[in-house]
Amino acid sequence: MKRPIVITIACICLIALCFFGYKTFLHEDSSAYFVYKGSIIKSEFPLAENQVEYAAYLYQTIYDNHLDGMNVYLSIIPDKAYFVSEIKYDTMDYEKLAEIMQNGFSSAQYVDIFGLLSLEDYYLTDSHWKQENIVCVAQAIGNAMGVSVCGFDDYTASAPMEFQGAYHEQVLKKVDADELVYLTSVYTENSVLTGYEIEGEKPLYTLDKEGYDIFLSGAQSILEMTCANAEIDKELVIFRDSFASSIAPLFVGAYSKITIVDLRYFSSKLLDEFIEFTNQDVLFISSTSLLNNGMLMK
Amino acid sequence: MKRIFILLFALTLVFSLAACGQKNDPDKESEDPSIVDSNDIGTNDEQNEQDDNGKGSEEVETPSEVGNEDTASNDLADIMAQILDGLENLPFTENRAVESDMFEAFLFIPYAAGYEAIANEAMISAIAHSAVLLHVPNGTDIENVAKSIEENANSNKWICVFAEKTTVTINGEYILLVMSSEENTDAITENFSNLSL
Repeated sequence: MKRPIVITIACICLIALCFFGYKTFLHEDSSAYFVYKGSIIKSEFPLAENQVEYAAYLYQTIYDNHLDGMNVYLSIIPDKAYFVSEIKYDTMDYEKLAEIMQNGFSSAQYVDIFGLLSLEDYYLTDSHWKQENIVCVAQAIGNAMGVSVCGFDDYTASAPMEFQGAYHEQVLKKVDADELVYLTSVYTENSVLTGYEIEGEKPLYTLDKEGYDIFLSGAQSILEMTCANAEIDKELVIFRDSFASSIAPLFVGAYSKITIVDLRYFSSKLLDEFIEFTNQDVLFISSTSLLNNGMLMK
Repeated sequence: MKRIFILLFALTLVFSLAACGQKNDPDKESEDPSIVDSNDIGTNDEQNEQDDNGKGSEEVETPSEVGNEDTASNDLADIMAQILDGLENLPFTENRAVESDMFEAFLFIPYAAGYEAIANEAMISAIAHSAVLLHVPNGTDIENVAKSIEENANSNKWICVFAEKTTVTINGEYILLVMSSEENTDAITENFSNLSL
């Protein structure tokens, strides 16, 4: 075989395989993890409208059955892909998601927090947001609910612990480890955590757990935080996903008791058996990731 | 000998470059060079296919009723009860009727006419547990349906907790998808296989 023929065949193979690899592993893989500005992001794509509609329907049904006449708020936490939606094509339609939720759950007052967040407010190696960066978010939601939430200066930040989140092993590119920090105040220090799957009482930050699970003991069906020195005797019920594990402790002090329900692990049919709904404030706060898989909730 | 060496070298180069090609998205690089796509490790193909299937199911009905287990086929509920009978370490569970618009969330395949399904899930427990029983109409290529479920089943669907083991089993005109702890998955699958359906 002559050398020009060999080189020609090699070039054709090169072009074909590069094209094949590009088409197969990039364009057609719409849920890939990728790295942007040192942060590992999972593309949440596309918008599953029927799942979001179900989430809104479930929330509205809970309102109709249990919360009629109470002060009810809805807030949506953008996942990390939201912050690259302007420059990456395979991200969901976040405006549409928020619209479906607001229209489908019209009994709640919507508290928009999208504009308060940036990619830097989330861990590099994990999907979750950093507690030390969301005090302003807690304050904004608190303002909407008519309560005063502590400012950053009222907290003491713990010594940073190294943290490698759930996304850490999803990419080959080396990404720096995160630092995990939790915030304490006179209120968090005087609060205790109880729950259906927790024996006895625990502190709000369970340091025997690893990573993000230090916040409210990780995945739990139903929890109760009780603050002994709260400013007022007022209760809050939070319907949430894991993102709320780090923001809920920022509401203690403003509320004497906070009940936290994760509808992925707690059937809404059981609500009356565990919670006596009276005049509590109620906050539905979930990430776009959960709402886009809304049928996980029951 | 020299020609063979050149050919081997060229092919090595081709495969090396093709492998590198999996990492970078040329389109996106031109827009923002700091975006780097990962290779396919850890991608959620199951969810991806689920999403793709979702595009085809435009006939979305109104959201399914909450707490509508009464609408589920009694036959399916009876069979589910038999499947779960005697399990010692099963969490507190409930049955949920899987309506047509919920099929992909529970069975990871699009709904087809005549399909009937019921899901058994934990009622109050932060663990991964889902047993979904599907009845398909007579004449359905049940092997193919089961294969599709098996390929697409996402044991990470709960996002924060994960099923230890997943099985897809056929018995008569029924398919059972189990995603749970290894112990429960094995026991449920065995109970189902032992039924005369």
